[in-house]
Parts: sequence; C-alpha cells; structure tokens
Amino acid sequence: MKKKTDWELVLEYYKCNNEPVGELIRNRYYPSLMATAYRILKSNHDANDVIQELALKLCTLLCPLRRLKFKPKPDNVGYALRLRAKSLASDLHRKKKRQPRTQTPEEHTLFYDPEKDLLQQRFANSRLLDCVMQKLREAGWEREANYLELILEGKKLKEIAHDLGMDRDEARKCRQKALRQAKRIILSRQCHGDKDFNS
Amino acid sequence: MRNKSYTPGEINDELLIDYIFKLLPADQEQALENFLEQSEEHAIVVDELLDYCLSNGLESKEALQRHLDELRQAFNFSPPSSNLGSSRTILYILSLAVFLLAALLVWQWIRLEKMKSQLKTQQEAQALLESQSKTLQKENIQLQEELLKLREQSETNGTTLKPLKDRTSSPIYAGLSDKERNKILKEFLEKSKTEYLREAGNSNMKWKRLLLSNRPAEALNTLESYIQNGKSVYGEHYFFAGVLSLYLPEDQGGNSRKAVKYLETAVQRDFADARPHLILAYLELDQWNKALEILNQYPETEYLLPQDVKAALSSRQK
Repeated sequence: MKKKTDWELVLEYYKCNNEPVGELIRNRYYPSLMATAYRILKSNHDANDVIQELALKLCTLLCPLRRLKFKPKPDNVGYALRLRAKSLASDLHRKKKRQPRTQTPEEHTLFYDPEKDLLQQRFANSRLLDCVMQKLREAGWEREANYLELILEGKKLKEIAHDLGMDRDEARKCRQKALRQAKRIILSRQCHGDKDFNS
Repeated sequence: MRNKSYTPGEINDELLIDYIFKLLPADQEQALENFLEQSEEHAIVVDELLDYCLSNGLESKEALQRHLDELRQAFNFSPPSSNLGSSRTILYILSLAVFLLAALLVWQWIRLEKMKSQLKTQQEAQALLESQSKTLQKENIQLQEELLKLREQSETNGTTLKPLKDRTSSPIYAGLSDKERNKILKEFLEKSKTEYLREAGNSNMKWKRLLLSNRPAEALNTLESYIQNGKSVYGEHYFFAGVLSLYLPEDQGGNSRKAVKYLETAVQRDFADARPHLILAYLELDQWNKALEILNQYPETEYLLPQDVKAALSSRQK
C-alpha cells in the first residue's frame, strides 16, 4: 500500500476497498489536512474531528457512487482531499458560530489572524525584525524584505505596489513570498538568540 | 548539475515539510520555490502548514511529527472493512429494484383501473343501446300489428288501405274510397241540379247541359278546355272543374292535383262552397297542414265534411 502512488490508491478505493482512504488521510496528507482544517477552526481537536469525518464519509460512500462523488485528477489527489476537508471545516465553523459563545481558553485564538500575529506580535521587537530582514537580504530576497518594511510602515497593497514599481498581481505574489520566507526564518530559529522571540 | 523541476504529482506533504524546515538541498529548494510561484494551491498549503507550525510552536520537523503522532492517536482511525461498502451496494441495488418493482406495479394497477373503467362505460353504453333497440323493436311490432289489423278491417270493408307516409299521421282516415267518391259525386250532381244550376235548364253553355244530363266526365273535359284557353273568368268554372276532377275516377279524367289547383282558384274567387272539397282534395294529397289551416280559418266548413274526415282532422289538430 505504501509503495503505490496516490492515483493507484484512488483506483483501489473505487474498487470498494477502504484501506487506501486510511493510507491517504492518516499517513500521506494528514499534516496538510490538519493545517487546512486548523486554519479555519483554530482547534486541533476540531480539526481532527473534521478529518475523521472526511475519512468516514469517504469510506461509507456507496461503491457505485464513488467514481461520481469523489473524482480527483491523477496529480491532485491531495488537493481534492483538502477541498473536502475545507468545506467540512467551514460547515463546522458555521455551526459553532450559530451556537451561543462560551468562554474557552482558546477563545482568544478563535479569530486568529496569522499575518497580524506574525507582524504585530512576533515582530514587535525591532531586533527580531532587523534579524529577519537581514536574513532575507542575505538569502537574496531584497525585494521581499523591502515589501515587509513597507507593510510594517502601515502602507496598503496598492501603495506598496506603486512604491516598488509592480502591478497588483505581482505585489500580491511578492507579499505571499515575503511572509512565507519570514515564517520559515522564524521557524528555523535563525534568530533564536532574541530573548523576546523565545519567550 | 541538472536543474530539478517539480510536477504536481511529485509534490507531497513530506516534501513540503522538508521545505518549511529548510531540510532540502539548495537546488531542490530553489526548484520548489519556482514551482510554488507557479502553483498557487501548493503555495497555500505551504502557508497553511507554516501557520500551523507557528501557532502550535512547532519549530522542527521532529516536533511536528511528534505533535501529529499524538493527534493521530486521538484520531484513531481504522478504515471500515470493504464489506460494508459492498453490502451497502447490495442493499442499494435491492432497494432500487424493489422501488422499481413497486413503481411498475403501481403503473400496471393504474392502467388496469383505467381499462376497467373504460370497459364499464362501454358495457353501459352497449346495455343502453340494446334496451333502446328492444323498445324500438317492440314499437315496430306493435305498429305492424296495428297495420295488419287495419288492412284486415279495410279488406272486410272492401276498401284499399293507402300506405302511411307519416308515422304521426292519423291511421283513422286513409283517403276516399271509390264508393264514397261515387256517393259524394251523386250528391253533388243532385245539388247542382237543385241549387247551383237550377236556372240553367235552357242554358247555352255546353258544360252546364252536359252536367245536367249526367255526363260529368264530358263536362269536365269542356271545363278544362275553357280553363286552358283562358276563356273562364269566373270562379264557377274552376269550382265545377275542381269538384269533378276530385270525385271522378282517374280513367274518366279525375286528378287530385288538378282538383286542388282548380278549387284553390275557386276559393280565391269567393266560392265558399269549394272549401270542404278543397280540404278533401288536400287530404287526398296528404297535405294535412293546409287542410287544417282552412279549418282553423273557417271552422264552419267542418259541418260540411264527412264524419271520418272530421275525426281524423280533430285528432290531428290535438
């Protein structure tokens, strides 16, 4: 089962075999599915529930209907699974929103905005920010470093695009790239010497 | 070294996690960077994984693996056996078949009901037709019996029965018999001698002399010749010609149609005595409506008609 490609597993699944579902969801795409569900629900427990529900739904789908209801392309099986997980997570999130709110320890993270969190909380310390900029420039991400600086100055996408001489699409891509690289630098603890970051 | 490039099929979570934690060789990392620039959906996955790691404080691949393993234990997913799917398939097919069978039965039942109702209506219609035809047959038989009776009666009386043209016409009166004709003609000739032609004994008029000498057929011929030549101006000619042609037998020049024509002109020329003869002439031709019209206009003429004619006309009037 482990040696088979994603598409071969899907074909197995069409033959009324449920084992490929376990392999695909539990082993191959579990991290990305968790990340997708977590982005919406902000709870590991709920995200886990969503993935469980996804697996069960796929397994209990009638054999003759499997080809109709679940039809990924050979090279985007993961994408098809993530889409389903996303829709299930959205449903659960909507249901939770309808229920009366209760004070939970995780509530402060319910409307967590990663970008805001990253820029305002983690980069609150100017030394960390300098470190990240420096690392970006060292790696040859000059344009992305400039972009981050302009974001922190409070400029909007349109203004930044104008300042850096880009069109909107290019600016959006640059922003994504800049944030991705900044996150990677933070995760790799290249600036771990900073006391505030460690705390 | 050859520049590596990725295709969507080669990308998996393991590779992306290695990229996030900078565990890939430089060339592969660069290739993945290039790929992520092209493929937005994979870039989103990378961003989501990065956010997940940051928000859960997972700063290494091992930490992430440990964290996910813990979650997997909570996840505790074991795929249900494939039998479930197949048994459900059988159930599904069975339920589908049952549903189809039920639908087929319902359809057939509806068709049968429709056919039954059609048959019922047909049978009802047939029964109605049969009863109608039976009543008609009965009526026919009754009519035939009545006709036979009448014929027998007429044969015993020595008269011939005229065929009835109209079913509604009264069977009581069936035209003048030869006896009656003779009788009426005799009466008329006597009356003409005593009343109409009382003072015509020495008349030069040929038809009057012929009539007084009991030669009505010749009198009729002369009168007709007068009428045809346009010599007759008076209603008298028409009256006598009409009466004679009505009561004389056919071989002596009698003709009911001509009689009607002559008598009508006589009536038009104020010959009131012509009316009862005209009524009889109409009855000879089965023109009951015209006879009844005259009777309605001049009810006194009824007293001059024979008894059976009176009865027939009164029954007809009702």
